Amino acid sequence: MADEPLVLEHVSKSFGGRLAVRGLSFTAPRGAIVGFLGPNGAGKSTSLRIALGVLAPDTGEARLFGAAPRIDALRQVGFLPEERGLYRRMTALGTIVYFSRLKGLDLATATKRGRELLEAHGLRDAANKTISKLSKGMAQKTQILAAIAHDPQLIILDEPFSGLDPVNQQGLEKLITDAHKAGATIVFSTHVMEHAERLCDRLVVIAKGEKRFEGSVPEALSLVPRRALVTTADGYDLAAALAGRGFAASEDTAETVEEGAGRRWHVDLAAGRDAQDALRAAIDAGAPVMAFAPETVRLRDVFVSLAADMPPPEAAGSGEIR
Amino acid sequence: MIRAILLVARREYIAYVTAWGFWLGLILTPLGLVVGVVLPGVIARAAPVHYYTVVDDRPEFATALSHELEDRRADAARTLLSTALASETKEQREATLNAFTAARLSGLDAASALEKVNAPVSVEAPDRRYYGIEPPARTLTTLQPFLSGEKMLAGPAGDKPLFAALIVSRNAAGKITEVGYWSEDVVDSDLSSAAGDALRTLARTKVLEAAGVDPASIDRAELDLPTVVSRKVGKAGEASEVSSADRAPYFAAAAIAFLLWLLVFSIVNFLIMGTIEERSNKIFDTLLTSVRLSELLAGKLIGVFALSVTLMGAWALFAAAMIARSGDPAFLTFAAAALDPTLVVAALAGFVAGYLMYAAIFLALGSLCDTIQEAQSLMSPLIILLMIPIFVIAIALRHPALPWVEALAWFPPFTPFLMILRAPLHPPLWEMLGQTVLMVASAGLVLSVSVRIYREGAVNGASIGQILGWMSRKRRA
Repeated sequence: MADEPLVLEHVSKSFGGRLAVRGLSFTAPRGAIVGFLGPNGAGKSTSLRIALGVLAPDTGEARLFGAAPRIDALRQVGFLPEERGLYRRMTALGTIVYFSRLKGLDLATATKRGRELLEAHGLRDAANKTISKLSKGMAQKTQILAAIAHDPQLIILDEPFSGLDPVNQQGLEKLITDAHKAGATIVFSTHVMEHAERLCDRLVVIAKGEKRFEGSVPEALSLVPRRALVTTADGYDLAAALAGRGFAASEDTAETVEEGAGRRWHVDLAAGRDAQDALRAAIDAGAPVMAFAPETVRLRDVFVSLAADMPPPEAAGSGEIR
Repeated sequence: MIRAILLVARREYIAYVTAWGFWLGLILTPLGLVVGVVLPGVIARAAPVHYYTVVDDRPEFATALSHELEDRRADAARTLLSTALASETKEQREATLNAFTAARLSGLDAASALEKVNAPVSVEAPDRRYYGIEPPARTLTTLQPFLSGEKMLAGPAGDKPLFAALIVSRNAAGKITEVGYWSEDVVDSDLSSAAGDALRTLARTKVLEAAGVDPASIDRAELDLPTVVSRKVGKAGEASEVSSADRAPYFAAAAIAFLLWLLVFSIVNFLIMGTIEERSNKIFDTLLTSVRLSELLAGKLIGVFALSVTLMGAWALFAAAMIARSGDPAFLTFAAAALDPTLVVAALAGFVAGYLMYAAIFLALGSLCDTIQEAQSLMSPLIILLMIPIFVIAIALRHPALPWVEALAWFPPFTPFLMILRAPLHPPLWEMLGQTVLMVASAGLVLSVSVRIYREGAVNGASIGQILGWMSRKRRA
């Protein structure tokens, strides 16, 4: 635990009386890909800046590899800040070489590594172009490459996917998985759940500066009740029919439901019961079932329920909820 | 740590030195100085030729005015001749100048007098600007069409309008009571001033003639005047003549002080623009996870200092090339004076502490600004503060021992400039040490406060309002 790549302990930070982060604790275990999730303004960037020692916390502490986030520890870290910025008159290769050298690489190694990375990520022709002449996506890729060129043990990416087109997003996902395979621990913040769902093996969800969840993806998914979608003939009350059979159902009142297409019901599945049990109960109750489908729980639903302005849901797995 | 500082410094240096603005400043500054020196002469030579006329019953005033104008032209030619003879011995120079005056007294005009004394070919008498023309009319009403340019006058420089009419009024005894100067040009006062001098010469001549003295004899007497020789007493009590070598340290000190001022002024843009770019590009988080803030700032200061040294070095090389080309021993004396040990020590201390003090202020200011407009509004008071030393340099050049110049030398923002200016006076050691300690301490204080402001501005995005609030809270605490 002491030498985990990243640990935040009871960290709080306020700006001008406004509390941005409140008692936040989380750990990025060695070798993990940790998704740091939260809505806009949740305090993600502030927390990451504290983790990197850019900001000093009011209370609590941050540790990188078991030590205070000072420059020696930071040499093992690659960081992409949320607000992108590079020297506009520097070339793409020059940018990677400069930041790699600041992290400790010698000129020859930094240049070799910069050329390899640019080549590998389709930016070979941009190597000698200044940043001001690159597209926004290419500049962002260059900055990401500059952050990882020195092969850091911990990579922290603040909203890395924002501003990238789908092709480049896919490229970045590959870059993250490649770095992970090479042994790096990765922490990235996002509010795009699809990336987190595909990449992460651990999640930390914060909202309004407070941690709402920390745990694995399956643990997070287990926080939202599983449900089945049942469509019955118009005029039939499935909620009343299932009430005595141990299932709770609520009608889908979405306007997208066409008239005459029946009534749609979401049937909650309690622990130990699956969608087939719900269908069987409906048929047993004599419900005129027109359609049936188990509902897939997505991380987006978990995120909305955790991050929305409501109390966190009951714990359904072993994930830690605060 | 040193490696990181040097990497930052190198990046800063390369970023600025590859910008076109740097080369523009590098080339335009000496070019501007050369133009500043050469332009007045070019303008003077390009001044238009004018016709004037004197309406008078007698010729004496017109003649006196014509002589006065020629005297002025001859004076300008004599000054050019004196400058051209600067490399000759004092005796040789004075003999040539006296010969020129004698030639003038013999009735030769300026051009002929220069020819007679075999003046260097580079010395030419200035072109005549005013030609006296016979009056085309005798009254103001009839002269008016010529003055307004409706009618032209034929003359040695072709057809031109009448520039000025001088209408002389006399009393019954024939004494001039007034000269009316009529001209459409209300700005050019050379001719009216020459007319005033001509009237004075006329009056003096009349008095001298009445006393039986030939006015030309007075001018001739001036050819044989004894000269005032400035002397000084040396440390060993020996007397010696004051030479240009004695005055050179003061000029050298003024030049070095001005160079420092120019350096401070030239770094303003580099530091402020660079920091604004970094703040607006949101690059600080990336930088601060790679280097310490102290390394970043030290690198910036060193990089921009190296840039300034490059700038100054290029200008110094340019100046050296000009001096070498001219071969003027006065310039060599000046260069030797600049190497006086007291001046060198004062210059080094002033350069380092002055640069650090002002650079730290500019860095801190730049870190609080997102746009150039914001920076400009913050810079205005600082620019006014920076203008004061340039005025003080001008005064201290003539009077370096003035008490208030000495007092201002203890005010840290001005110390770097005034300590250099006062170095040729060889002030007591305690004074130089005291001022250096005060200056270094002030530079340290300014640096320390600037680093805190820089951190707030660059890292936390604080504005000037927030910084003022922070400072006021600190004061209350």
